[in-house]
Amino acid sequence: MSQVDDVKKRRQIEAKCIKQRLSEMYEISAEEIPEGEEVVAFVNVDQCIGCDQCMIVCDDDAIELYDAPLRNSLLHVEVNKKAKILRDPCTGCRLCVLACPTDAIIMIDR
Amino acid sequence: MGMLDNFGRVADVYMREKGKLKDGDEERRRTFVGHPLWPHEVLRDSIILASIMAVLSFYAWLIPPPLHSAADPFAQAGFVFPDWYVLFSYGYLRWGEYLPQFDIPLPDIIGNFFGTPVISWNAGWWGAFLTGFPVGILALPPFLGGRAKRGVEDPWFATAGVIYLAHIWFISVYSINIFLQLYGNNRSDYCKLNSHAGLSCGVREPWVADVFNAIPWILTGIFIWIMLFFIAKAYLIKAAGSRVSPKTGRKVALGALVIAVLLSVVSWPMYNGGFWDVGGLGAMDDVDELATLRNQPEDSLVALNEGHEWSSMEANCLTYGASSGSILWQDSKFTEDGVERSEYCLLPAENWLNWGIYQPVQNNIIDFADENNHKQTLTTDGAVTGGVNGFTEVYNYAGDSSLSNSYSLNVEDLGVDELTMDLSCTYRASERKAGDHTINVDVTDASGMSIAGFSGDLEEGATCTTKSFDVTPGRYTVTMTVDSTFDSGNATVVVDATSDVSVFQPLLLNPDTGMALDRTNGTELALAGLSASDLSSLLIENPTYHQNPKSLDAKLTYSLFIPPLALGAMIYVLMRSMARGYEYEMNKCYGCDLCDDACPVRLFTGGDKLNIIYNTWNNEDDGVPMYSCLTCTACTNACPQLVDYDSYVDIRRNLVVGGPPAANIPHTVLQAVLAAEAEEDADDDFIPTDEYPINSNVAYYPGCVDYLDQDLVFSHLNKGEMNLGETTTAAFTLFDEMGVDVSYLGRDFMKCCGHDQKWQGMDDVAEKLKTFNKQKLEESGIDTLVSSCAECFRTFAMDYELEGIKVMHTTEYLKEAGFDVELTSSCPKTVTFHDPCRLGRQMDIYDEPRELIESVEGVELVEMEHHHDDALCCGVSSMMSCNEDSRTLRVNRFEEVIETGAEMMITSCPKCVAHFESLKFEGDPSYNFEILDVVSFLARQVDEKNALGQGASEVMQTSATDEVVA
Repeated sequence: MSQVDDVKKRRQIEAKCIKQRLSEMYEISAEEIPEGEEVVAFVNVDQCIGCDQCMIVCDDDAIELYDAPLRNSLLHVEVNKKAKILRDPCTGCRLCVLACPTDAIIMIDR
Repeated sequence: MGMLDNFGRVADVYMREKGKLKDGDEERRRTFVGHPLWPHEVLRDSIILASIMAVLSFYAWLIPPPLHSAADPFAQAGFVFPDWYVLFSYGYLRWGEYLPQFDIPLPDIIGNFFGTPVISWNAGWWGAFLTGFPVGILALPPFLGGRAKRGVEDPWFATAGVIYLAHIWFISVYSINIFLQLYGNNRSDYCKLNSHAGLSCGVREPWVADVFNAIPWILTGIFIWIMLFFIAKAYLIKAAGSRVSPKTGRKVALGALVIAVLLSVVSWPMYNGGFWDVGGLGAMDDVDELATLRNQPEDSLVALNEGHEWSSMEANCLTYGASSGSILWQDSKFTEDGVERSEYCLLPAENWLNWGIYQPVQNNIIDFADENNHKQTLTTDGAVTGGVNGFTEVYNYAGDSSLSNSYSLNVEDLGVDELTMDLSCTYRASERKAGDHTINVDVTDASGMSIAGFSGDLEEGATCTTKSFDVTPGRYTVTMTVDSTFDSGNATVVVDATSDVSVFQPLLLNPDTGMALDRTNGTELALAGLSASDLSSLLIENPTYHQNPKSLDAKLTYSLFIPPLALGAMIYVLMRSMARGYEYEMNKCYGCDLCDDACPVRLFTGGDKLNIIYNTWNNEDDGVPMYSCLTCTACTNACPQLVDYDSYVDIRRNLVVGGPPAANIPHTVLQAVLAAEAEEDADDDFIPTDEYPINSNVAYYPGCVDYLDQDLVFSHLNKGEMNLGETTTAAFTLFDEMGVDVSYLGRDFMKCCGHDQKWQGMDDVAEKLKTFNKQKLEESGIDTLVSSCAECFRTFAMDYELEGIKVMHTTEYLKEAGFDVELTSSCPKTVTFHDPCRLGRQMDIYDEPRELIESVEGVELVEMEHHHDDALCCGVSSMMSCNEDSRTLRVNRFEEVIETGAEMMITSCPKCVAHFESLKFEGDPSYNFEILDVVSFLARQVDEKNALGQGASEVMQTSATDEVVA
């Protein structure tokens, strides 16, 4: 067996362990996020990078992206978007919180 | 890179960027450069001036003013010393007195010229000779050290300089430590009898002299402390390796401090006594000589009206009524000259104990003056029959005679085991040259053993030399024989011969009055309620026991060596901590602003001030920029002074209490998993070294790429586009192809490298990871560690201090192993290379990846506008600062890629790949290029080639089969 195959095999086993560790940690951190009718998602615009992830996961069409100017005037980009939560359709399912790569979304009391 | 070179290149960039910035923000201007005269400069100069004045005032106050009464040309000079600037030479002169003295014979021609056959090498010669060293050293600095350096750049050189200066300072100041004695004579706890029999006490506070006296020993303590610390730490590091954390260091420092304080306190009497046990470092008389010192505190009469500043002593001074038993009151000035006893008082011996050095070899003060009347000659009917503690016998005879008498001598045991016995005799004849006389004195102990004695001829009118012997308490027999042979006709000569034996018992003081006890005075004993057996409880401990009378000279000798070393050690520690503590680094900045223009963060913080890092250091910022810094090293790269800002950020972040602000660290779950890995509880999850397959001395570490694949949100959705773990497989594909044997050290064997934790300011976590990994690596017996991750590579190479293990980036390793695989891209391709900060600016690897890329035939490498050490930042390192600003940086970088027209952006850091991919994933159609790790890129070509080769061989096989068929 070539080394590559050996390494591939071993990495598959490692990947399982990693998956398990990450999943455990996800469960722990997910438990701390409130969910339900009482809460609503909120976007911290400073941390939002407009990556669209939340819109993809949101089942309720409760998230919109809007164009926002950059905070600084020295740089220029054509597209800079931010997410916005539409309070009414939001069901507090917290999917967006779990999906956000920059932890920009939190759940707040409605 | 030379500084000029660097400067020129940077200035070029500066000019280009400057234009951009000016267009971008007209308001950009410097509001604050350097320090204004008021109040900064004025305050600083005032502080310096005040310190100089403080030093001068200190000396003015410490050293007694030298001007006293008008000079008396006939008076003998008291204490002569030179001007301050040659005091060091005077110090050598004083030391020279205790160095070996010898004669150097001179050849005739020189001897005749100087008129002396030898040079007597004495203290003077020593002083002149030793003075030559410090003066000579002054001429050396131009030839030492190469270039002008600040202390922190070369702590050892600075230390040597400080030792030199401290040596000169100590020898200068302590050469006149006789001031301590002068000062001591005027201390408020010292009194003496003046010429009018009055008591004069000092007025100055004792502590000043005590502190001055203690400085060398305090410095010794510090020296011991520092030495203990370094020795213990060196030992610990050897034994425990990287488990020695700053916390352990603090514990070691504290432990060493405790030991050093204990040691110096315990050994203080040795210093204060003038190094008695080691012969005063040369400055001490022989102990035999010191044993002849017999002075002792005595009751003294004090004239009431002649004292100065002695009010504190007045209460202790006894009136005639209270001390009438003392023989002092029978002085002729009272009995005959009519002086009133009421004009005097008697200051008991007890008070004199601390006012002089008494009998330094005696643990208990011995009553050599026999104030206690220990010595009692026993007589019966006027004839001597023996004695207690000694006796005196007078011989009186005429004509030729020979006398021999034996007496018993009872030496009492009052608690002192070793007593001094004096034997002496006198002889007087009524006529001169009357004959020959010999005398024999023999002392035998209870068993008849002779323990002491002397014999010899007596010259007429001579006194037998007093001889001292050591005896123990007990019974002795003293036999004295005198033999006279007179010339005939001189039979009428009368001879007086006296012999005296004295054994000196310890001084006893009356516990009530403090006066010397009179043992013959039964009333006094009775009043004090004492019996003879109680006497031993009245012994006086000698406060000056083992006190070197030349202790000041001994202390001078000592001050020349250890205290300067202590100051040197302190400076070394200071310089070392400064060198580590970035203080010096930041001070090198002269505010040229080049870093400012190189800094990507400043672009979006719209900085109107000098470098954010510099300002944080200068406390002109609130420290927030600490976390906006991307640690991309662009500033250091631009800096003509090469100030290491990165290390500063690293250190400062680790000093922030409570860890990094959560908003700056996304991917909390991933971070939590990696941090959990650091804990010792997690050690069991990793396979031990002896069970892990390691079959070559080159090992490959994948890093956290497999974690990134599973955790980063974009990885899930971006399948096939950014498979970071693919890099690992790719590396092994290349190793296979080259036929090199590399062991895979997976993440089931080693923990995370700790890079992110270190740069996020969680040093404790990073240290734990480092300790674990370091141990594993050392156990594994490998000699080369390869990693494709630029961050892992940097961390292992720079932060791990791995001994005997060479850390290499995969590209570097491939080049070194002689990458000879001939690769051809199936279709011609234009690629560009993005230099990751960790690989490029921090590890100086620019050429290896480029050479590897270019070795693929059909691939053209084009450079972006910013490349090599000017490469723009990807916006993210250490998983920090994922926000619109860093996104903007990536957008800018992509624009540069598009400008080159490259079809592929190759880089060599998984973080760069991951975050560029994130932007690409947003779907802007203009981002139509591929992003790939350099190793994956090469492996792809290898796979392509192999697939092609397989295809070719299949074709060949088919054709061969065809032939057979045919």
